[in-house]
Amino acid sequence: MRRWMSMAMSAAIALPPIVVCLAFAASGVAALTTSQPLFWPAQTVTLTEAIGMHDTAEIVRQIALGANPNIRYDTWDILKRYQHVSVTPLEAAVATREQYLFETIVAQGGLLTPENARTLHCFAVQEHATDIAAYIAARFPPPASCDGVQLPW
Amino acid sequence: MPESMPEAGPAKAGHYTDPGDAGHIGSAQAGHYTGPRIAAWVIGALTAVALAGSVYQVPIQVSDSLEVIERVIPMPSATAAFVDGLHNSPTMLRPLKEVRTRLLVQAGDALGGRYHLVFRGYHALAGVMLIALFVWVCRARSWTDVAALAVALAVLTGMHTFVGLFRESFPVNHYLIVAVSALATFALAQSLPVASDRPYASLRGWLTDLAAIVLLANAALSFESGLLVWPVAVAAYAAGLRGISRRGVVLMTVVVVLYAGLRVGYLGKHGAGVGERGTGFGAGALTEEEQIERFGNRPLVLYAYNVTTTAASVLLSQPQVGRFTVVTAWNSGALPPVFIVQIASSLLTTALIGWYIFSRGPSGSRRWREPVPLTFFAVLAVSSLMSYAYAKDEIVSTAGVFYAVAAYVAVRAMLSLRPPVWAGALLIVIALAVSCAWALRSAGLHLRLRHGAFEARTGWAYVLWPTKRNEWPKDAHTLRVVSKMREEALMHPTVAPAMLPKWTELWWGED
Repeated sequence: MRRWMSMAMSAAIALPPIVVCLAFAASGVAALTTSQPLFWPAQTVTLTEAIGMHDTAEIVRQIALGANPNIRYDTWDILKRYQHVSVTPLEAAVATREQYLFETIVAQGGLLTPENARTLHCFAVQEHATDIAAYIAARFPPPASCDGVQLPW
Repeated sequence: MPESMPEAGPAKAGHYTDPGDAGHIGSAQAGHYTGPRIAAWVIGALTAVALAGSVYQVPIQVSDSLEVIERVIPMPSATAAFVDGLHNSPTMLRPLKEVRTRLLVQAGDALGGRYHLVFRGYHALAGVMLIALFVWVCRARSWTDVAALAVALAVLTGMHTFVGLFRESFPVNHYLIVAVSALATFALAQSLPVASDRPYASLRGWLTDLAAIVLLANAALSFESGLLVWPVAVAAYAAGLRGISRRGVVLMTVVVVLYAGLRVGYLGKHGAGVGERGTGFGAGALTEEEQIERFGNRPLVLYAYNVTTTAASVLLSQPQVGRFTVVTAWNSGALPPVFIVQIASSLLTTALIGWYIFSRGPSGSRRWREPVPLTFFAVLAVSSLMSYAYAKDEIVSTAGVFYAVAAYVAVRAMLSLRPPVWAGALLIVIALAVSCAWALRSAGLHLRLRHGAFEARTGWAYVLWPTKRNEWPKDAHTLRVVSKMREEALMHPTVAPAMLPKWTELWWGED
């Protein structure tokens, strides 16, 4: 191959992988030294955002580190597209319609009481979270009506 | 820029030599190759660091892993773990898995309970070793070799079969052990036989043979696919490599026979059959029951499908796990770019390898007889056969590694062509497109490892569940180890797939 053509061919073959290799090597060094890579690192989320993303491990971590599973947290763009909502972890679990997440919060200290059971049951009915509605109904009598009950949305 | 190294032909009947090797060149020439050699190792080191960084982020796995850890901890010795591994399954013979797990736990104990460091550091180091062996085996000696190596490393890490070497662990990934052992065996075969008038020539020959035998025994007793080390040695010898002597190949064959005797004759283990586990078929998948219903009376049809599609998977990136996922995607509407990138890059690379193996080397002999193509064929054929009962990408992961080595020699040969200008310009455009595609696929490895990290970490959320204390380990040491592993996994945040941009799914596929 002519010299210029040989060089152009070698460059065409080698440059794209070398660029990617350099970028991810830098990311690898960051991961090994700062514990998070440059590409696709873990992001800081609230407890209810972790619930919205079905990130059970993050839920357990935050509660183990002292997060209160019975207060409201801001949740951005997960439970409601491009919206901030303020919900409790149990309400966030209802919004995901995943019973295992609801049970996880309860097992990790989320309190299901006569006071919040009514709201949660009505919210579950509204969100078509039938499994969770049945779970709550098995523990507290479901309300006759949801009129006047303040729901997250 | 110096031209690519000339291709080697047999120096004498049945004995393949590569004139690019330092053993065949004068010291002045050896000095001339220093720059490219350093560049090759630098690219290899960058690839290794990138890989190690992502692999180390993946927590120790729970499924298929914690059970093994909990089983080996109370055992009185490594020997007891080995004996347990001989007898704990009617189909599997993996005693070194138990031993290795026990040793890693003990190493974690010795480091004050740093089990993530030990288990994941082990995998990161094994990845570094795999990359180092790959660079060693490719033996880049010129700048064009370095260019070929750069894209070959992208092929290696971008193959869909590669991620399986690192994403899961049981608790040690045995596919990775097989790939490292097979590549190390090929590197041993490539080493030059020591001239008989050199001091300790006989001893060095014996040591090389012994190393190959140890690699085979270690791989085979870690995982059934470890037997792949044997066809690597045989194919390399048949192609003319004499680093492992005939005596060594014969002794390795004896080891395989002894293994078969132990497995079938003494331990009475049997192979997998129809319906052993779910597998892909056509554009869908078959459950165990469906396999028995459709192929119970004619298992050879299913076996033939699994073997051929597994081989095709390495060459064409489709089907994957026995499923033509591209058909499903096509039928559901717009075809995501991931399929175009994967299939086009594999098709063109396989075509290049095909051109290489059917062309003739400088000596006039067909290149398929050369060590790299012949060994690749052997590994692909044997690993596809091993996949007879069900399709699984990981089973052909070692074939994927040798596919990348074959891509290296084919690209190297392409760079030595002298085409007319118009054809050269076209080749450059095609080469750039293929190289970009493999670079993109290579980046996808890291994304998949992030997914793997999320899954593995999620598994720990359900371990030592507060309301199920009756399921916690009864042994105090085991409970301490599991608690620490859980803490290490949970306290290290990973990105949730839901946080990743939608375009990652389009370019690297759904997880």
